[in-house]
Amino acid sequence: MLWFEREVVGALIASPDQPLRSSVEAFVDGTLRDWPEHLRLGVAGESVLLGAYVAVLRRTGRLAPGDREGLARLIERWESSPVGLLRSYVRAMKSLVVMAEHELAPEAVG
Amino acid sequence: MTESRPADVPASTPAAAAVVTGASGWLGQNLVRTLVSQRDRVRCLVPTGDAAAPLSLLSPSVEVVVGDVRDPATVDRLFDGVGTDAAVFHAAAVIHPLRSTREFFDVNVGGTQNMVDRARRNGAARFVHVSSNSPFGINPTPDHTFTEDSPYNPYLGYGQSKYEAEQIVQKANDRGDLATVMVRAPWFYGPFQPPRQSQFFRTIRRGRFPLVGDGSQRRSMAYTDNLVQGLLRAEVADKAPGNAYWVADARPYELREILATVRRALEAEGLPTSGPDTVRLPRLAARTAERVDALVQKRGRYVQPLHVLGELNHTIACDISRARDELGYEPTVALEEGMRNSIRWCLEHGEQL
Amino acid sequence: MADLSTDVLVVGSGAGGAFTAAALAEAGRAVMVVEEGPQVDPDAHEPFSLAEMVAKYRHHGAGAAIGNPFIAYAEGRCVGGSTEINSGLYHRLPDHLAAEWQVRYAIDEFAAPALAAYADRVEARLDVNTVPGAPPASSAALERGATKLGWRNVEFPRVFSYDAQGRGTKQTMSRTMLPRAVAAGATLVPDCRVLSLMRRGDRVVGARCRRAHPGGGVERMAVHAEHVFVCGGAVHSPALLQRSGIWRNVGNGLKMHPTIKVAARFPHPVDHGDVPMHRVTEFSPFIAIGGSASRKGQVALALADTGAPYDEAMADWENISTYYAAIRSEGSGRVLALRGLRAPVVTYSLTDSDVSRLARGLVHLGELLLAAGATELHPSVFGGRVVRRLDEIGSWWDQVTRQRSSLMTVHLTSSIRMGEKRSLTGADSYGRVWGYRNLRVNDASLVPDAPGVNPQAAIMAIATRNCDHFLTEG
Repeated sequence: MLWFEREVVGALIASPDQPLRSSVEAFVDGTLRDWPEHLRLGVAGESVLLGAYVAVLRRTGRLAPGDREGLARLIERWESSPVGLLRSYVRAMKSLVVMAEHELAPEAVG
Repeated sequence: MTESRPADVPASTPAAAAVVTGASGWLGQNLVRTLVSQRDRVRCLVPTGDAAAPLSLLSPSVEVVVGDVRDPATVDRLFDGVGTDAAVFHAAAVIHPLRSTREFFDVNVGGTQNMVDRARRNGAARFVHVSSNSPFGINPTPDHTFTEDSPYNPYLGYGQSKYEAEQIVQKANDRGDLATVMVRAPWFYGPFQPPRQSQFFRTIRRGRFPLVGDGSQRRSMAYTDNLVQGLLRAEVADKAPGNAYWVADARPYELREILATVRRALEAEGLPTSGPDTVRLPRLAARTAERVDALVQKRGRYVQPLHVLGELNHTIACDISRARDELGYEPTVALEEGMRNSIRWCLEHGEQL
Repeated sequence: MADLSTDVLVVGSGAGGAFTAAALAEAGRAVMVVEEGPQVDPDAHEPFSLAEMVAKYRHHGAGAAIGNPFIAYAEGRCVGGSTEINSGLYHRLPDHLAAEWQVRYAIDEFAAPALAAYADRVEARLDVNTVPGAPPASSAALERGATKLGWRNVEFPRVFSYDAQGRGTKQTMSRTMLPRAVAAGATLVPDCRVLSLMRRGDRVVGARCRRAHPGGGVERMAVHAEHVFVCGGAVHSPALLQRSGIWRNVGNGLKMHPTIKVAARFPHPVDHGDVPMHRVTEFSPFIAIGGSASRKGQVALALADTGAPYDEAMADWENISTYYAAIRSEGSGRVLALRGLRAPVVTYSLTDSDVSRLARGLVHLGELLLAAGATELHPSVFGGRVVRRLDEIGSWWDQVTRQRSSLMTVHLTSSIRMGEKRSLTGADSYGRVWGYRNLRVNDASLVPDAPGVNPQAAIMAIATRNCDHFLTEG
């Protein structure tokens, strides 16, 4: 998993519970590895670009390093971006996190 | 409008209440005006408040519902309190979409499904569905005419959507949900025409209307009064439920005849014509337009002039024998008189031709 | 490199492969089944759980057909294939479709009575049952809503076997046909991926494989075979053929059942274990309505689709179940195996009429769920309105756009169609790949069009029929 993907996953996980967070991260990592290469490359490419963008934001002080909430808000804005690929990037990452977070937490079935 | 009919076509009495979709459209306006003279109640669906006003003023028997025919709640309102024995005339459709070809399917299919479903649930004496020649494409040979036995061969998005609508309507009848009749109307003309039709007259008046090939292609046309008569017959004829009928003027017209007749009609209504009788366009031009039209539509877009030009190459002719035999339909107006009426209507309504 | 030999090599152990292996082994042929995925204990994981996705699904469940929009799909990758992960719903191929396809693709002996006989044989081997007693609440909701609106609906049976206590077990291939194949002498080799087929002229002589050892390590294998049946599913069968240099009408014309979904909140708890078995057939053949897997994770995913906050709804997740509207699609897609890539590229193109049909399906689905008593509907549309009343549903029409809809399919078919019309098909009436004397396909790829119902019944009947033909012609 690329560094930026780790950050995105970290920003998307709602729960503060550390073991759960680690499990979700591990699941996302493993799943991304198992993805069809062309889809994985696509996401990786976007992660590189978006990571660079966020790095610039941080360097210019528009986003505080370690500001997970700030990153989460940024990601939320990307979700309604007019750029289709950006929206689908967020959706893809989100779907992995949401599924994992709720399934890996205890009491997943009613 | 005279209501002549051949002897003894078994029919019931018309319903006291009528429900009309597409009421503010070209066909709808003609239909509603006839219905208000006959029915206790004419419940109309129109898309906007603006469209509602002229209809409500026609008569106290007119009740207007404003809304989207695709919307379940709107169609609920449309049927609310109208009773279980109303006659439903479903004319709402998109022929020339504004934004994308998706509108064909949303309205022509989605709207039809909605109407059929609610008519079934509410109860209706009969569901008269306004259909088109487009599910049948073009005649295979220049002297062929479509009958009710002709096979489906949908032409582009509009044709596909009207075909699917027919399938929905027919299925509702075949399952015993509703008594339905489909009236297939070709190119129609008459009062209450939209602005694009004024362009039609203007172009012909100046001799700029393209005549493709030698103009011997035959086109069936339906004057609005004839079409309205056909719909009303379909409502009451005993043999009608479960069937479809071609309804049009008494015979198809050659394209060159249409152009010449319209020029004569314009002159007769005091509008001198100019330019050559027509502009000759080789068939290739129309074929190209047709191909480009198909490509454009495949991308979801719609360019009306392209579509119209593409169709000018073709014969689209139908046979009204079955409508005559089973519905007791008898067209009363022919091309020249109908065109003169249309032109006069345009002038009375301030259209510049 | 290991060198093995067999009479019949079957690639893939799903619905098609398992029935093929059992039929041929029971007829006395020497059969080897190679399966890319692992052997997984069918009871080891809860159905539709994350653990099951990791263990039994390809790509951990994340497949996507590229297009506008992308359409998500999942495939099984394990012994038993997708039968190990599906809902188990069972519906024979509708007669009118068999008749249509017989004509359009010129398929020999494909008329309804012939296929019915094969379906009978499938049903004699698998237990097909409706739920004994009352259906689960999530399914009953569909029936309730449909009945209220006067919409036709039916309970589909499933390949489930019930014990005296009424406990159901899904009759997957790993529980049924594969053990029978093995009992009749077939060899099953899991964790073994076929890299390419070895060809010599118009014959296939075997397959080059890579087998993973459970302890680690990878072994190259060559399996020499007199006959090869490729049963890797509608994505991986064409991918394998393409990797082996066979391209004609292989991988094009892929069909699916694109679906759009709603997460419906009810004023009472609903179950989350089973996929609903009721289907609303009112709008067939264009639209089918049913229910989806609704574990907590799937509910959360569905609620997240609108992009709006959903914490409040999620707290009530036990009252929420997800449902779908599936369409018959005019569009189609492609499978493309690219050199150097392990996974093929899958594309799918929806037509405007498809998108409209999806919008219509969503609207019908919404109306149905409100009639069933749902109090809140979350559509799988980004920016889609959360609907609580019928008069709010109309807004969905314009909200369903390509850009904003979250679509998926659970069925994939038609990428190597069967039939004598060579311009349209990649294999003959019995699955023999054109141009090859001893290479056959026997899975969902053959089914000429999306069947509008869960395809496993059709796949199994067709596979049985094709095996009969193979055995008689020698």
